[in-house]
Amino acid sequence: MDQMIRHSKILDFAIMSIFRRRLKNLSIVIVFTLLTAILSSILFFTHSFKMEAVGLLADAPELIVQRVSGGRHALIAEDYMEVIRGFYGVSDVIPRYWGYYFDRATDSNYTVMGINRAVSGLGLLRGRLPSQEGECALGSGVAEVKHLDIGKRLYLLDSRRRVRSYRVVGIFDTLSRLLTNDLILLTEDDIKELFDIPSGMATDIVVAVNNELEVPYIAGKIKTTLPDTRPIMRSEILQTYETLFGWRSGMMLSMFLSSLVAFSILAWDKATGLSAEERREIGILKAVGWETSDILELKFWEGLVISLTSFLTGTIIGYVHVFFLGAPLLSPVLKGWSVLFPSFDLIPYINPYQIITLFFLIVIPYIAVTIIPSWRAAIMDPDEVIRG
Amino acid sequence: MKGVLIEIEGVSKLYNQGMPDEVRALTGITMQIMKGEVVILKGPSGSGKTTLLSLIGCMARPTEGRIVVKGRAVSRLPERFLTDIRRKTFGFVFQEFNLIMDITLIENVMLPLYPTGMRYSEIRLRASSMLDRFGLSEKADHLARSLSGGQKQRLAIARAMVNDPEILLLDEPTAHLDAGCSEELLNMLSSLRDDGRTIIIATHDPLVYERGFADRIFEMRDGMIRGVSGR
Ligand SMILES: Nc1ncnc2c1ncn2[C@@H]1O[C@H](COP(=O)(O)OP(=O)(O)O)[C@@H](O)[C@H]1O
Ligand SMILES: [Mg+2]
Repeated sequence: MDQMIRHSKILDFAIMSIFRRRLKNLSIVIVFTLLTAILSSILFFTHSFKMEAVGLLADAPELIVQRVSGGRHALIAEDYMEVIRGFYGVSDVIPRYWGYYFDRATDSNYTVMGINRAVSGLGLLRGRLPSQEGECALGSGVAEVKHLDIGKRLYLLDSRRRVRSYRVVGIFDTLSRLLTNDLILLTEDDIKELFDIPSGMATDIVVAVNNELEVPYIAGKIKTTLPDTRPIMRSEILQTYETLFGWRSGMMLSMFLSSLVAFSILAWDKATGLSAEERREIGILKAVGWETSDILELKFWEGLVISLTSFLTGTIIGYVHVFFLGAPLLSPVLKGWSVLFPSFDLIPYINPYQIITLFFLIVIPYIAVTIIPSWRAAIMDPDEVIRG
Repeated sequence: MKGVLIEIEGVSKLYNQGMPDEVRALTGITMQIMKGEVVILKGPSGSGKTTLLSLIGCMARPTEGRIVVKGRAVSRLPERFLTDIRRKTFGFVFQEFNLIMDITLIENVMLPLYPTGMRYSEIRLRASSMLDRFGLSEKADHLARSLSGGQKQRLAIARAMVNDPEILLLDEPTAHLDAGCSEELLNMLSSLRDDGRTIIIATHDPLVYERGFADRIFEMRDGMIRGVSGR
């Protein structure tokens, strides 16, 4: 009980001391808060992004077959479907009609896709899917930049530069915006007309298999039987994706590291810079009967209050920055994506591990570097410390 | 007098030992201080008074020799035991006061009581009665920096007294005071002495050592004791 009272009094004194040196401490809190905000933004962003990517890939087809002509992706004849359907282990073969559409007015790229049974994972929809010619459904990003809503009309230019219009019947509010943000969904007939796809041709073919383990075998067989095709397995998409993501997270990592360097410099400065006034105070406290451990406790509380305040505010700012504001400060790194995703909203996934990591990066080193010089002063004879 | 309270045997103190700027501040000091005695260390500036006072008050350690306080050889004790002795036995009034200027008077007086098991309300009460005793209660919630020299001196004494120490050590207590204030301070010290407290004063102010309230006066010069006068 006596010990509790003793600790609480030292804590009281620590808080009083923090306010006493409010200018210095406020500047430290501001710097550390900013640092935590940057670090937490990067951590939140990377994690959330990864989670969405995982969700996206879970919905991706196991095997897609494209035709390659002169090294370029070309339309594939629907006749190929019959050949593939004959292979053992293939359960379904579905043609897909899609393409990228560049919208000059909004300076953005959209993915236009024909609706069919291969379009899966688009469950969450406001309104409904297009069911007849002249109807469309939009990703929320498209709806946002073109100021469209259910009941309004979307105008697109076809390959002969004629204006076509579609009535908006549904909007994807899918949580995973990475998947649907830039999407325009039309009926199959409409998309064939828009992109001028000749009948009997498709953009690519989705192959469903009975047993996932057989995918590489079936892919190999397609490749040998139909030499001008390129089968793409989900695992390959994953690799491409990871390369792309790896590059981006590399950028992030370098930002992360430079923040860390800044942090260390500041920490070092703090470690070596116990002001004459602070030293004298330690000497006074010792002279009036404070033990070394009391002084260390005082400095511990001071460090804890300051770094915890910075850590909590910084983490909250990072959270708001990434999940409410769309990470504008990370946009130099995200430029590639922001064309694709006019408005970049990530779903808040919080990883407790990251919070703990952040805690160890911010709070522990700060307390350590503030305690060490105080400890050096506190173990000296008071006479020596006071005289400096 | 009821026996020896402090024994000092062959104590020397070197500053910056082994360095080019080595200073010999004290040489072969031997003396005894009795319980309830008032002792003055008198001597010109640089004669080693402050150094001797800090050794007695366990603020520093002798280079050679032995200091025994209440039967314990403090010169050899590890730092944490010294802290304990500092808190329980000594009240130290520094020449430069060593107050924390940007906290209030009452907080300054409370400082020695923080690392104890006493409740916050209790230490505040004790500190405030101490301020009362030294005529500072009206300014209890002012910052220490707002005080005059005489008030700072009284505050420093109040802080030294809040633990009710057996031994009060004062270093040049009149250095920052005018004649009137010095008079007032000496009256105050007389009343503390009447409580039976042991008081050791380092001074080169004739006003203090000619007043005749000390039991013994040690004359210091060049880090040595050159003479003792007393009753
Ligand atoms: N921390 C220190 N470092 C080096 N020399 C010191 C230190 N403190 C005191 N001295 C020297 O020791 C001698 C005695 O000083 P001090 O004890 O302060 O004397 P007094 O209090 O009688 O003026 C002086 O020569 C002084 O310069
Ligand atoms: Mg002196």
